[in-house]
Amino acid sequence: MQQDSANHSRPEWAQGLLYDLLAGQGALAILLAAGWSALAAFARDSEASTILDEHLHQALEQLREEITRSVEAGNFLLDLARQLLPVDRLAPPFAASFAYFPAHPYPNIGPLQKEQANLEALQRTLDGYQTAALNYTRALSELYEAVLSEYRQELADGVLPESTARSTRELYDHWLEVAERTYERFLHSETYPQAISDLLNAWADLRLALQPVLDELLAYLGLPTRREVEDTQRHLDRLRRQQRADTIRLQCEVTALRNELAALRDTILGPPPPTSRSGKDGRR
Amino acid sequence: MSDDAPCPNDSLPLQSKLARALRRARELQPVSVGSTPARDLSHPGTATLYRYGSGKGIPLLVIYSLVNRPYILDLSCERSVIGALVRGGITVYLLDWGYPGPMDRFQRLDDYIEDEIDCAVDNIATRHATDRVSLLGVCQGGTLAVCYAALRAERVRNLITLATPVDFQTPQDTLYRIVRHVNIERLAQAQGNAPASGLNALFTGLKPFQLLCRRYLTLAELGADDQALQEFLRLEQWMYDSPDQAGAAFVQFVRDFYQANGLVAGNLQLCGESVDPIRFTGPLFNAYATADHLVPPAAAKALANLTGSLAYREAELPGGHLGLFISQHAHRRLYPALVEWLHQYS
Repeated sequence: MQQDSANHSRPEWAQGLLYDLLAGQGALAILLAAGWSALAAFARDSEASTILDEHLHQALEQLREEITRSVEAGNFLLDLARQLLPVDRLAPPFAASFAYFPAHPYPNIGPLQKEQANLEALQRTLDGYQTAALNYTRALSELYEAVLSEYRQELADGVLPESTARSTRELYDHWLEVAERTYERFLHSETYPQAISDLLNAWADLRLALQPVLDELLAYLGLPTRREVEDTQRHLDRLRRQQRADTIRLQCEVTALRNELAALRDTILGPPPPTSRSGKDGRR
Repeated sequence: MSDDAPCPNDSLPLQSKLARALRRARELQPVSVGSTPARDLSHPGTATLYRYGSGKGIPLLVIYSLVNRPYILDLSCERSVIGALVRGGITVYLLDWGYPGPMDRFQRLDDYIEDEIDCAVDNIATRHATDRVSLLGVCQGGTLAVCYAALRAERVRNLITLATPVDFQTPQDTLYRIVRHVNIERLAQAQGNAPASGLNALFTGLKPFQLLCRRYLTLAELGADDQALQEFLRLEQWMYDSPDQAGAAFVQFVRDFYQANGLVAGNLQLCGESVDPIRFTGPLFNAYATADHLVPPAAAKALANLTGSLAYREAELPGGHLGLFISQHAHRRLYPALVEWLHQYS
């Protein structure tokens, strides 16, 4: 079932793998939209928070699905890469025939042991990425809950005067104000920025662990790999620096030669007579 | 429905006004940006050097941030920092960093300073037959200008910094709180150049309710005013017209400025030298905004304790980061004062 699900998500795998801070922004946008939807439903104050509650939980569910999709995408690549490893293909028949054949993990042996080590690293980073993504979602959940709870409390305490509380726009502005205030508090906490950093770090680890696997596939298809592109970038950077250094050296040489020439001319012809400055200074 | 329930139809006028404004905004696109005539000068680096004004005024080199495009300084005739300076008799030179591509991945901050800023200063100094040039640094560009003035103090006549962070670890610095635990080398290794989309997410993530919601609700009030709508659209275009960041320079900036707070800690190294802002002793004008969420006032004010300037002046303006460049208050108070100050010290 898991395999089927991963296969179905294939067209979206690239998008799924980009789950990171951008998706987090999407989640925040949902938080904003949820407020508007609830208030635009012309709800009473008390009903508004219930509707918000529903919208926010739907939003969280969407976010969790997005994370699941992105992890499935990683698993799909992992499975695809594993097809290339003989140890994974040969081991099951052995396991079927020998009672004491070891279960996974197999040792890294044979001509493709480096590739197998890469896959193991990928599996580890995928786990780390999933943990970081779920922690970030948990932090967002806490944010949602905190905003909602504060909003409910303020409605209950009658923070908004009756005259303005009747306007949908005023209610929405109030919702934004509460959300913004709570969000600021989260941003200045220890845990929320840490959750963002952890997600970014886990994403970088995953991407770096994926790279050798993707590079192998690209090389197999005869396409340039990331490593080759990086080599070209480094080479070009070296050439640019060399060219700049050469240009500066040449400019210095030309200046020195001009000075030498001027000195020689002065020695032979004597210093040039002073000239009166014309209207145009000749500069570009 | 009881008396304390919101009126069922009270959001309809708002929706209708918003819809009208959105339709009109669509008709007004694309909007033009950049109102002051500029001349493209020969410059050996990868950036482009522009000149605004006659070429006979007091020369001033503007060093803008690498993160956004510099046309926020010349968004429209009414809100043009460059226009205000030119009208005040200043010849403005602007280094436009452009859009770094994959082949710029290993471009470092040292390269921006040595190959771009230093070359531009040489060029301007030759044109104006002077040894020293005044610099105006904006935001991250201000940080680069402070570094350049520390490294090549003898080339800088006056230094102006607008919304410029020098202390990157002040209590209100949200960006620092987010990036302090990020393994930036590894992120850049995975990503290459820092993508504009990621940076936009980071910046909107600091004020999502303001930038993704309140801002668009204000559109409803602008529907009947084409000029206001155009201003809105210009700013909107600028906000998300973000270049990718050269990977190596981005790592340096996050690691050495944010994570190590090198200017304050005194351990910053650039171009093979130690960067000590105390080396610049010339006149310095430091302006910042009181409600700046990107560069908190304390992050900018810290320059007072680091610089060696013998004529240090500070200007505090109400409002946020962008208000420093586009607000009416800034154009009424700050830029006339800046022009006068430049004339006084040039």
